[in-house]
Amino acid sequence: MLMVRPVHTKKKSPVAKIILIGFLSATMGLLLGSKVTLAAEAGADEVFSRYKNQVVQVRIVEASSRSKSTVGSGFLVSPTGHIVTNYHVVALLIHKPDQYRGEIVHHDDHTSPLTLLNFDAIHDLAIVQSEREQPSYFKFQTESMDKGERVYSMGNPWDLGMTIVEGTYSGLLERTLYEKIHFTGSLNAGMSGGPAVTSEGKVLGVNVASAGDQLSFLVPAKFANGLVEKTLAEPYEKPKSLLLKLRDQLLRHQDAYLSSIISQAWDATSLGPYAVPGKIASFVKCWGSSAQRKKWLYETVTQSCSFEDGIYLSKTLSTGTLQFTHTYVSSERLNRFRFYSLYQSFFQNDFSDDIGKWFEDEEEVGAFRCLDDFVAPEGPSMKVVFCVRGYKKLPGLYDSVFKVATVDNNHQGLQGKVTLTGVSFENAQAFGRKFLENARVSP
Amino acid sequence: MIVIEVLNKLGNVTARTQHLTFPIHVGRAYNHNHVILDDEYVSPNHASIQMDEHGRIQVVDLNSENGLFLMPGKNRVSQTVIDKEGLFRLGQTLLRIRTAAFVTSPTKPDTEYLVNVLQAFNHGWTAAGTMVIAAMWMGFEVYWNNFTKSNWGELAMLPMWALALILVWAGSWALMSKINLHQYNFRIHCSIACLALIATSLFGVIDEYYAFAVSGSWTSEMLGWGGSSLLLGGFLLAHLRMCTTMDSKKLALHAGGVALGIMGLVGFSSYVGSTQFLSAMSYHGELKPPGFQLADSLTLDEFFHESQRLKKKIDVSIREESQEE
Repeated sequence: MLMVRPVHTKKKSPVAKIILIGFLSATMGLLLGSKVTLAAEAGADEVFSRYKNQVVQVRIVEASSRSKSTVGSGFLVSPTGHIVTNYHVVALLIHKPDQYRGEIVHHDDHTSPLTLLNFDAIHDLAIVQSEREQPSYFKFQTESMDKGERVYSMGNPWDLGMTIVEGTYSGLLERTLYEKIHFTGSLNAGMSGGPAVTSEGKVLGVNVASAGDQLSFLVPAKFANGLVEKTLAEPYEKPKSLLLKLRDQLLRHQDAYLSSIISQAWDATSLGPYAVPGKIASFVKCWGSSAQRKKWLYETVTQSCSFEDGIYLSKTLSTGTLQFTHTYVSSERLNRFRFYSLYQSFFQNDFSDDIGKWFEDEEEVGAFRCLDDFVAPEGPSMKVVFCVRGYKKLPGLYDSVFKVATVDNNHQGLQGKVTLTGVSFENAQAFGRKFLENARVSP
Repeated sequence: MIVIEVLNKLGNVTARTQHLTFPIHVGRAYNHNHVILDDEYVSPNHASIQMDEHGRIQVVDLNSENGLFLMPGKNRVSQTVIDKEGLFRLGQTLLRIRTAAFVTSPTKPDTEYLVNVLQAFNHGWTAAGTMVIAAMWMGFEVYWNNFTKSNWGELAMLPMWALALILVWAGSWALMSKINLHQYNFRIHCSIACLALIATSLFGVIDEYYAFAVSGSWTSEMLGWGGSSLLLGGFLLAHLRMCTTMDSKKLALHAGGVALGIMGLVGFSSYVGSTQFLSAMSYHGELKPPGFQLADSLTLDEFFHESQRLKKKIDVSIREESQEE
């Protein structure tokens, strides 16, 4: 079958491109050799020499071969060896505890084993404890900061040795579900989990991600501080399953943000004669495009909204994203049979990109199963497809896809698609239901 | 008058002779035998067939080394009378003797409708006609599924390729016909291929509309699989009929078997494909004009109630797969 489809270009926000740092091959550092110290301006050298003892390297080692699989950074937050790092640095200890173990390399190259005490996958934080005690440690910055203030980020990039990077505080990211600090400075792989400090040595954030070109991100200190206080307050008890703990965090998190979205009234935008949900939450970004060419016998208008900042779980699974697209297809020049043959090909071929690519690790997820039928809510009659797959290691979490197409007019139709990852089945249903209820013919 | 027939192990006649005078001698020797058998277990002068004074036919063993056996069974006989028919074993040879009194089965009416129908296409104009119709149909399909302003080049391209393929396909069958039947039957094979093309594509359209109308119930799956198998089997049968002399029933069994085999392979490979890619989603996505909807629409409550069953299925398969690991 020959068919020409419109190409929908979509603008990606810079946040969508952020890459998690922290993975590098163990050989990389060895190849490049000696320690490099970056001290750009006056102040940095002072900060570095004063606080370098409190920054450590966190290594995740394959137990049998003893080779390094992940190298990140961390910093001391108590005299008893408590260290803050990123969740993604120690993720292997949660997903494959039998296969990996972690160790801390202190400033004087002293290596000691680590114990994973607590983690917060949503904010990409983890608390580990080193067996070595050390009297000096970091305190958190609790006062608010002004844009442009000097910030020094410390860590061990590419396993090359401890360094300091000078940059500026550029405020909190707006319109995002996962609050982050925008840091203008260059974070590199391996610096994940390291501290970003003020010139007084107070931690204002934890290095987490970089989008290149001096555009980097920090986890705000309040989340790290909260996790540290909680960890220090409770006596340590080895949890039965770290994966279950991870699952509970994800379930709670999706419940919180989805129930708030579902409970509020949704803004509607019009697409042809239809009214469809638009920017349903402040952290959701929307963009639209229409396509019409002289040669085409039809036209389309598309509106996409998404929130693509996922939560990193493991190398083969990220989750917590939301995306929906509406496409209005119409034609006066095609008869109804030809129009529906066009309309069907739009529905069967995906008319919008999925969030990145689907993760396809058999150990993590099962296969999709679908339900399809005609549904007639109060608005037009429509065909609805609901496809879901479950997470194997995190039972109770699912990826879901809703596809709908109105079937009520011979020359025009509205198709919609919603993709939610890492949600409970009930929330997928509730979101889909609200989505169906909110697509209607404009009065 | 009697007829002597030599049978092979399957009971088919390999040689047949008619005899008007008696006695008739049977053996391996080239002396006065009327029927000579190339069988090392047969004696030079093994048996003779005679007519007695009452006009009855008698088979007599001439003191042969390995004897004369009346079949079925293993009775060695030295002399026996036959009425209409008698089956004997001499050495390792099966010999059937039938007299003029033997009654043949009634004549079967000629029910080879398929051959008669197919012969109608053995005409230059009919064959050319089906090819033109097939090409026009293909062109129409391209036009129908092209949603930009069409130009003639585009519309002609696919039909041309399809016709070329049909010619190659029909040519291969014609070669088989030539080998087996010593005639090409090319025009017939060409027509069969054209009709198959049109029928398959028409069936595809009907199947899609049906799947939409009933909202992809199991009946549409059955229609799809059943119809495809029947079409495939039917057209294979037609091609085969035109290049062998095999009995139609046997041919139908063969064609049916091959069609089912092919459909099975297609089904299996699509199943394997769907299990290999975890992001593959299979559902009924047919969309047709609203007037074709036959199934009732569900309410939102009913749909989400139904989805509860989906959850159960997913949870069960996840649990099973996790346990396997």
